[in-house]
Amino acid sequence: MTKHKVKVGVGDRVEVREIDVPDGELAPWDADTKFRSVGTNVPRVDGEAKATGRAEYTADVRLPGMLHARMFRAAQPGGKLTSLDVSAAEKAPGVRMVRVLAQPGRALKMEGQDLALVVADTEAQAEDALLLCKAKWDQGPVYATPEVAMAAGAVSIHEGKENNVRRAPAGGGRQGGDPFARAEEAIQAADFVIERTYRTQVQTHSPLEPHGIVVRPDEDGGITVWASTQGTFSVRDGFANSLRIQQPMVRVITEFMGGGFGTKFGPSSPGSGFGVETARAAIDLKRPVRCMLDRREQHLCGGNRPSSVQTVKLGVTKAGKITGYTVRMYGTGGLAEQGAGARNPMIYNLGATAVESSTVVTHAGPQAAFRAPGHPQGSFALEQAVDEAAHAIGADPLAFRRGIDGSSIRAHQYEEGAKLFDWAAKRSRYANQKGAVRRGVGVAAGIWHQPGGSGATVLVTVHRDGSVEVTNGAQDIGTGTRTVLAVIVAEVLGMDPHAVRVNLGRTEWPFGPGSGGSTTAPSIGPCARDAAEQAKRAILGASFEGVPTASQWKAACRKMDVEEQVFSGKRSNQYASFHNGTAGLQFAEVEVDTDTGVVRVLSVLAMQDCGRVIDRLTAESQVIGGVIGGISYALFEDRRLDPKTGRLLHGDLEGYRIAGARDCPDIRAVMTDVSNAGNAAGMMGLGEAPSVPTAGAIANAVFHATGARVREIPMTPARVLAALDAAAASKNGGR
Amino acid sequence: MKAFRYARPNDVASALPLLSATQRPKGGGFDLLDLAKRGVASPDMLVDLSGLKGQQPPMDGIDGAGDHGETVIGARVTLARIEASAEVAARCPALADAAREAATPQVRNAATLAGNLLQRPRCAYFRDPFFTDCLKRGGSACAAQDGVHDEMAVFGNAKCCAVHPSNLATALAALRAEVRIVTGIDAKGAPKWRTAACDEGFFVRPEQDATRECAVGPGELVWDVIVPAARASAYVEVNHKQSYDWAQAACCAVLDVFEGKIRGARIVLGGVAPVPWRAEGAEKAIAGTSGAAGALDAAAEAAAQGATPLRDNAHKVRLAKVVVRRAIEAALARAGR
Ligand SMILES: Cc1cc2nc3c(=O)[nH]c(=O)nc-3n(C[C@H](O)[C@H](O)[C@H](O)COP(=O)(O)OP(=O)(O)OC[C@H]3O[C@@H](n4cnc5c(N)ncnc54)[C@H](O)[C@@H]3O)c2cc1C
Repeated sequence: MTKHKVKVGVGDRVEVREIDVPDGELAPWDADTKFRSVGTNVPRVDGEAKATGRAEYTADVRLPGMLHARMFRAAQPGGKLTSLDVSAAEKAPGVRMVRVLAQPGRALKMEGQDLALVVADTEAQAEDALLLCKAKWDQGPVYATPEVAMAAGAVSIHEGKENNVRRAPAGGGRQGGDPFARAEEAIQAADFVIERTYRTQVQTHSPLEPHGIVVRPDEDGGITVWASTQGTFSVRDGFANSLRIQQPMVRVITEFMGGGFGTKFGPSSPGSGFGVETARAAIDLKRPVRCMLDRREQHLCGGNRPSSVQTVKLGVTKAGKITGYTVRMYGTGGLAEQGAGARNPMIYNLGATAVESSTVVTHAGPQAAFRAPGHPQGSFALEQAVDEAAHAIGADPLAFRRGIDGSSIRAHQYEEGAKLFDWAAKRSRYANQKGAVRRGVGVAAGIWHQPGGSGATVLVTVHRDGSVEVTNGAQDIGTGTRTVLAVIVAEVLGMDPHAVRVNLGRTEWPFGPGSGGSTTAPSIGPCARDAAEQAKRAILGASFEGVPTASQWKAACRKMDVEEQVFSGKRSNQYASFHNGTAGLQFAEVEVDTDTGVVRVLSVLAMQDCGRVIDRLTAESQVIGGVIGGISYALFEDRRLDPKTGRLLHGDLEGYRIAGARDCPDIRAVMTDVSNAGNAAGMMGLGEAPSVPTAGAIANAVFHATGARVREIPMTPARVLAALDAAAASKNGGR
Repeated sequence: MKAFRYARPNDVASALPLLSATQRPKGGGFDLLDLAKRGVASPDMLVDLSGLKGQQPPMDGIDGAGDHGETVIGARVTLARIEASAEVAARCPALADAAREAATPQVRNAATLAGNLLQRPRCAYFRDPFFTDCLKRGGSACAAQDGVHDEMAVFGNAKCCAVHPSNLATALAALRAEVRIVTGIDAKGAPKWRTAACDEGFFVRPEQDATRECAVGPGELVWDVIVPAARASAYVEVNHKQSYDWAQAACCAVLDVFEGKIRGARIVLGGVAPVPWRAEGAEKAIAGTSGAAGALDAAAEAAAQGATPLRDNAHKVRLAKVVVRRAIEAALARAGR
C-alpha cells in the first residue's frame, strides 16, 4: 500500500484525504484532475452503426448452411405428461431433427416448459413443425398466484418439498435475539404507528432482442457461438461445462446485443435449456443452428421480477424520527425457490429494523436478476411508508427525508434537486386543487453499491501508424461500454474518443465481467486507464508531462521498434473511497384525472451519482432509460396468467403494456459528479440505480395530487379510482 | 403460421369470385396477419385490394360532395387520411377524432377503414387458440367470464364479454353511417350491391352470432361508407397508456343543436360492449336541454343504466359515464362554431 493525498467529495464539499492505494495501482483521478474528454458529452462511438442498422445483432447472424431451431413447449402447467408424439413433425418438410426432451410422467410446471427441439432448414418450417408435435397430459391443480400456492391443502410443485413456501431467515437483528420483538418495542415507543401493505406485480424483462443464439460447430472440435448475452464468459463457461469442451474452444461473440436487464447469462435462459440443446443439435448435425425466442417465449422463459406483498410497520415521532421499521413480505418468482425478497433499501435511519420474506413457488417461469433485483419492489414500499410517516406528522416529505438520511451525497442532491425541480413552489401550487384533473409532486431516494472489482484485463494496442485499439472480451449490453473505454483511453493519450478503436464481445480476448450488478464499466474502465497510462509512459517516456499532441504521438509511434505494442491493464479490488455505493434522488410530477383514474407522469428529475462520470451522454441516457423503465413498472407492466389454466394472457407487448413514446415525460437526468477514489478512474456502476426510486416517487406524487394512496402497482385506472374512493371515504367518515 | 397464397386482382369483377371464408380481402393486413401468426385464423389466400380499378366511386377516395352533406369514404382509405381530411373535419369531425385516437401513426398510415371496422376483438382468450372452446370459435364457453376480465364488456356481456375493438365503429354507429357492400357480380360483370346501417344490422351481437361482429358475408366486399353530416359531433376515449393502446371506454355523441338547445342526440359507447352500444337513455336525458352540468350528469347516469359489470370491471361503468359527459361537451363546443 502507498499513501496518496486525494481530493474527494461532491460539489463544494471536497476535502483532501490520505488514502491507501494498493501497490501497482495508479493514483486515482480526483477533484483536482483536469479533463479533456472525461465528463464531456461524447456521442456513442457505435451510434451510427446502430442507427443505420449496420450493427449486427445475434438475431441478424446468417451463416452458410445454417439451420433453425424452435422449441415445442408445454401449453400449460399443473399436469403430468402422458404422451409426446413428434412423428408427424419429423416427417414435415425441411425438418432435420426433432429431439424429445421430456418423457411421459414428467411434471409440467410452467407454460413454456421444454418438450422437444425441432431443427429445420428455415425458421418457418421449424415453426410449422411445432404445430405437428402433439403432447397429452393429465391435468392437475394450477397455482397461478402465491395466494393459491400458499393455501391450505396446496401440494408442493417441486418434488420432495412439503409446501410451496420458502421462508428466508429473518434479518435485521445484528444484536441477536428476536429482531421483530425489538423493532416492535421501538415502534410502539413512537408517537404514530403506521402499518400498511404494498403490492407489486410480476414484471418481465422484455428486452427488445429476445434471448437467442447461433452455434457453429468448428472443425477443431470446438464451437463458435453468437449469443445475445450480457455475459460472454458466462456463455463460454456454461457451454464448456455442459458440453465438456475446453474453455478456449468455446468462442463466444457478442458484438451488439439488444438488452438483457439481468436475465441474459449463460448459454440458455432462466426457464429453458434452448441454448444448450441448440448447441447439441449443431454438433450432431454438423451445421450451424440458430434459435431465437419469440416474444411469448421471452415472457414465459426469459425470467421476471418477482411480485411482492409487503406489510410495512413503522413508528415515527412528532420530531420526525423513525424509531423502528419492520417488513413482512412474500412474493413469487414462479418456479424459483428464492429471489422474491423485496429489498427495502435501508437508506434512511429507520431505528430498529426487522425483515422477513418468503418466496412462494408458483406454476410460472422462474425469476431472474432484473435491474436492481428486489430494490424497485422494496423502494416502492419504503418510499411510500416514509411519505406516510411525513404526512402523519405534517412534515414536508423532502424535509422529512433530509432529517433521516445520513448520505452526504444525497444531502447535496436534496439541495440541488429541490432548486432545479422547484419543489417548494410546486408543493404549494398544487396544495388546494379543485378540478377533476390534478397535479402533484413526489420524491424518492435510491442507492446502489457497485464499484466493480478486479479480475479483468484490458489491452491497449498501439500501432506504428499511431492508431490505438482497446480490447476486452466483455460485451457492451447497450449501455455504452464501448464509448466509456474509448473516452478513458482518449483522455490519457490526448486523442479524440471516436478515433480509438474499441474491440469488445469476444471470449478470445481477455476476460471481462458479465454486465450484472452494474459492474462492467467500473471493472474494466480503470483497467483501460492503467493500460493507456502504460502505453503513454512506454512510448513517450516516463518524463513526459501532460498529454501529447497528435503529431508528437505519431512521431513517437513511428519510432517503435516493433510493429505494434500491447499493454495489459488491470485494477485491484476497490480500495478506500469517499463514499461506498451510489446515491440517487428522483422527483416526479404527475397529473391525475380523478374522473378516470388515469395517471400521467409530466416530468421526472433524476439526480444520480455514479462516482466519476466518464461520458455524460451515455450516463444520462442510462438514467433516462432507468426512469422510463420505472414509469413503465409503476403504471403499466403486469405479467398476468389465467388463474384457471396458468396460461400467459398477453404473450406480446400490446396486452403486456410497456411505456411508449407518449408515456415518456420530460425526463431530466442530472449527474452528481463525485470524486470518489476507490479505483484508478473513480468509477461506480450506474446500470441499475436509476430505475429504483421512480415508482415510489410517482406514487407519492399521486398522493400529493389527490390525497389518495395507491399502494399497488401497476396503477391501473381501476386501482386509482378505488384509492380515490377510499381517500374520500376516510375523509367523510373520519379516521 | 400456415402458408397462404396472395392475389392482387385488378378489378372488382375478378376480385369477388376469389373471396371466401378462407380467402380474405386484405386492407392494411394488420389484423389479418396478426391472427394468422397467432394461429387464430389460417387463411388460404390474401386478396390484396390495392390494385382494384375502374369502379366508381373509387375504393380509396374521400368525397364530400354529396347532395345532403354526406361524405363517402372508400373502404381502403387509411385512418391517417381520415384523420387529416378537411372534409371529414368539416362535416363529421367525430370520425376524425376516432381515427386520430386509434393505434399509432405508423399503424394509421396503413390501416384501412374497412379493416378497422372488421378487425376482431382484442380479447386475450379469443386471441389464444389454446382456449378452444371460445364462443368466437363456435365453442360453448367463455373463459373470461370468471377469468381475467377487468377490461372486458360491462354491457351486453351475458354470453361473450369481448369488447368491440374499433374506434371507427363507435363513431359510425352514432353518425348513422351506411356501409355499401358488394355482394356479387351479375351476368354482365357489374357489381351487385347492398347497404347495411351502422346503427342497425351491420354490427352483430353475440346473442345473434358470437362468431362474428359484423354482418359481412364471406364472399362480400365492403366498398365504402356513407357518413351523414354532423358538425356537432365528437368522439372521446379513455386510455390507460397514451401510446398504442385501445380504449378503456369511448363515446361518440352526435347532437342536433338549434339556438343553443339540444333537440336530439345520438350517443354511442365504445370499448364497453361486444358491439357499439347505443345509450338511448342518455340521448333522452340530454334532449331538450342546453347541456348544462345537471343535464350532463343525468345523461351520464342514464347511460350507465342496464350495465351488468363482471366481478372485476365495475370501474368501466364509471368510465362510460365520464366519456358520455365529455363527448357531449365536446360535441356542444363544436355546435357553437
Ligand atoms: C398497435 C395497434 C394498436 C391499435 N389500436 C387501435 C385502437 O386504439 N383503435 C382501433 O380502432 N384500432 C386499433 N388498431 C387496429 C388498427 O387500427 C387497424 O385498423 C386494424 O388492425 C385493421 O386494419 P387493416 O386495414 O390492417 O385490416 P386487415 O387486417 O387488412 O383486415 C381486417 C379484417 O377486415 C377484412 N377486410 C379488410 N378490408 C375489407 C373489405 N374491403 N371488405 C371486406 N372485408 C375486409 C379482412 O379480411 C380482415 O378480416 C390497432 C392496431 C395496432 C396494430
